[in-house]
Order: sequence, then structure tokens, then C-alpha cells
Amino acid sequence: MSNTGESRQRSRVYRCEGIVIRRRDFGEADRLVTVLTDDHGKVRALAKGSRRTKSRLGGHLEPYARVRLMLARGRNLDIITSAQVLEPMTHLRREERSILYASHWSEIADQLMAESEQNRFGYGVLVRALTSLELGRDPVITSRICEWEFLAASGFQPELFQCTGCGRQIEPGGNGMHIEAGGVVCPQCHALDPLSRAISNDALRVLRAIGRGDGGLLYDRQLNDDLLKEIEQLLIGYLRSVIERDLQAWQILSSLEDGTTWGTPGH
Amino acid sequence: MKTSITAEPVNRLINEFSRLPGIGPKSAARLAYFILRGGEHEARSLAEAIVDVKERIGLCSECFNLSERDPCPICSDPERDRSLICVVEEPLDVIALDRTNEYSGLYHVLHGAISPVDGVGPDQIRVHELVERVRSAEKIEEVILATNPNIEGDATAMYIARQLAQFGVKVTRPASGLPVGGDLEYADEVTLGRALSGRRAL
Ligand SMILES: [Zn+2]
Ligand SMILES: [Zn+2]
Repeated sequence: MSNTGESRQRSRVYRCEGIVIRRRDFGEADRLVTVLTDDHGKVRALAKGSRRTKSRLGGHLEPYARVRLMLARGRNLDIITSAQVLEPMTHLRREERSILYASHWSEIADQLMAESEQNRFGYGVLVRALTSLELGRDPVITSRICEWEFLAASGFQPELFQCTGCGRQIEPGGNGMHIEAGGVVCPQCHALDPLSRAISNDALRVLRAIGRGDGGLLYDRQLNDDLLKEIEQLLIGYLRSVIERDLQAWQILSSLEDGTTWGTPGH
Repeated sequence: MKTSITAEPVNRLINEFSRLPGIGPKSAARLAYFILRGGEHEARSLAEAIVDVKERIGLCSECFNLSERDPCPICSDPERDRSLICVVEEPLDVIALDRTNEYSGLYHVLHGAISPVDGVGPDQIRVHELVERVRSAEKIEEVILATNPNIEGDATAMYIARQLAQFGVKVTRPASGLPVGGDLEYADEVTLGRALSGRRAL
């Protein structure tokens, strides 16, 4: 791909907007960052010298901030030549629970979004989720919406209206969710397949609302804990099977969510 | 992989070097050829130093800093202020902070920071050991959380602050002046010293 005439015609420098979803130390004082961008999908690029305290780049490449970037195409890796913070997302950084949710979504983005392929919808999913966190909305609801939308943005959206076993229209009552088959199954197919897990009518209704883009309405509803847990297990299970590995941030997040009560740190 | 024209032992050395932090394939090859050109004595001395450091240096069982002795020289120094613990991510941070001469308390090395995307949670670093240390020690009055001023360091500091809240010790974070995103080990002594003396309660 690198030596075709087409790629030589692309300009060497490009600009985009993005969110740093991952970074790791590289070499002496550099960082390798993964950015989800508006126009270039997922981009992996080198931020030279960004670990040094006097670096102009460093402070502008903190995870989850919305930034404007200028990059230069390199032979192996693109190089970030300038970065400017558009929205620092300072609120979410003040609570480790928020940071854990942001990490969870970033990991999903990293796993599901393609490199250098424009996906404005996928970028919008992350921007909306982080903004909700920043505004103090319930991260549990935000997370379910975000998980669904990332599946949709990458073409893995679960089928919710037709049985993935026999194709018939799904009616309320006795249905199952078949992760491997890619969506819901009717009561007959559910009974025949041990891999299918029961799905309640309420859970199906909530997922359909999220699928229609009405997930925002859920913030004002009092969804009970059992229903929230059911939807969580369905979506996390679905993501695990699509990604084909464990979600690292989720493991830490869920163990802390189950084990401790969150509050403000003591003085 | 294309077939190699280099002898197998040389390739092996290049591969070993390229696993070191900050060393790319080119630098690794340069280092390997440097060793090859040098004398046998120098090569043996380098190899022995590497083995020696692994055999003789361990972790201090109190502060988890790298040390030849247990407890380490800092933990066993009677001149040190035992009411203060400064928590850092890496052993290199201890060196950087101690150089400032602004601090004479004890340390606690976490060996990392909470980084969920990399699967590093509280259980993967030495947080529980710190909590135990604060629980069992009598004189600790203040714990300074000098993790790096970036999102992983912040998350780690917040998590630790919550864990320590039950003990009634003062928990502080070095003041601003450390720019966001930078690594502690790269900060100059004056900035670090100023940050330490101007710490604030979390
Ligand atoms: Zn069916
Ligand atoms: Zn020690």
C-alpha cells in the first residue's frame, strides 16, 4: 500500500480532530499514541519528546481530551507535529470511576474501529459518551448506549426484530439472545439451542430504543437493577464474542463497581 | 521474515538488545557490533554485571524500592522522617525526588500506575502493600501521592486516597508546576522541589 502512485499523491501532512484513546511510552522520551479521529478512523502515531516536562505536545495529548492535530505521514508511523486541545474534559478526569468508563469505551473503540478509514459515526459515538460523562450523566446508561453504538458503527449491530434462527418476526415473550448467531431468536429456536440466553421483554425494548437512537430517554427512566444487569450482560457478552478476547478495562471497572461504593475521596 | 545473512549468535544478541527500552533494531545492531569488535574481557564484564544485578538486587520489603539490602538504605536510615511516605510509580522517581533535597521522609514504590486499557488495575501494582503499611505503622502522618501528573497517575492517586481515607492520615498531592503529561523522571530538580514543598491535600 505504501508505494503505489495513489499514496504518493496524498499530501504528506494532514489535519484532523481526534481523541487519544491509548498511549504508551516509546523509546527514550516519545509516546506512541492511538487516536480516534473524525476523518481518518483510528490513527497510530508517534509523539516525539512528549514525555519530557517541557514538551509542547505532552500536555495536549492526554487521553480523552478532544484535540486538533496536525500529522505527517511517515514510512511506518505517522508523526504528530502539533496538537491543540479543543475540549480538555477536565471533569471526567477528577474521578477514577469516570476514567475507568472512559478507558472501557476507548478499549472498545481501539478494538472495533478500523485504521485510517473514515468513520464519522464511530468518532461521534465516543465524543457523545465522553461529553455525557463530562456533564455528569449516569455512566451506566451512557456505557450501554456507547457499547451498542460502537457495535453498530463497526457493522456488528445485533438483530432485534427477526429471529436469527428461522427468520420469523419477533413477538413479545419467551425470546432468546443468541450472541453467536448475531441477535434475537424466537421462542421455538430459543428452546432448541442451548447457546441462546433468555432475554426479557423489557431488555429487548431498551435495546430497541437504543438502536433507534432514543437511548437518551433512558436517563430519565428509573430502570431497575435487574434489568440494567441483564442489558449489561447481554452487551458485554456480545462485545466479548465480537472482539474475541476479554475486555481489560471492563474487568477492572466491574470488579470495582461490584466491590466498593463510589464516593469522593477522603481528606 | 526474510532470510538473514547474519550469523545466528549475532542475531540473537541483536534481538536481546532490541528488547531494551529505547532501543530500536538499528541501535540494537550497532550495540551488537560494538560488542563483537571489543575485547573478550569487556564482553565478559558486561555479561557478569547483568547477571550480578539480577542476583543481588531485590525489592525492599518495606518500600519496594530496588535495593541490595532489605530493608533498603533509605528505610533503615535513622535520620529519615518516618512520619512521611512519598508514593511514586517507579524506582527512578525516588532518585529524582531525593536529588531535590526538599524531602527527607520515606518512599513507597508502586511499580506502575493504574492503566485500565492495559489491564493494569490496583491489584497489579503495590497498592495493597501501601495500605497495609499505613494500617500497621503507628507514626505515619502524611502520605504524599507523587504519581505522574497524567491521567493514569491521577487515577492511581484518587484510588489510593480513597483507600487511605479510613486511617485518618493526611493525603496530599504535589502542587502544580509539574506540567500535565510529563514524566516525573524528566522534571528538573527545582520544579520537582517546588512541587513537593507546595503540595496540597487531596
Ligand atoms: Zn426462530
Ligand atoms: Zn525501603
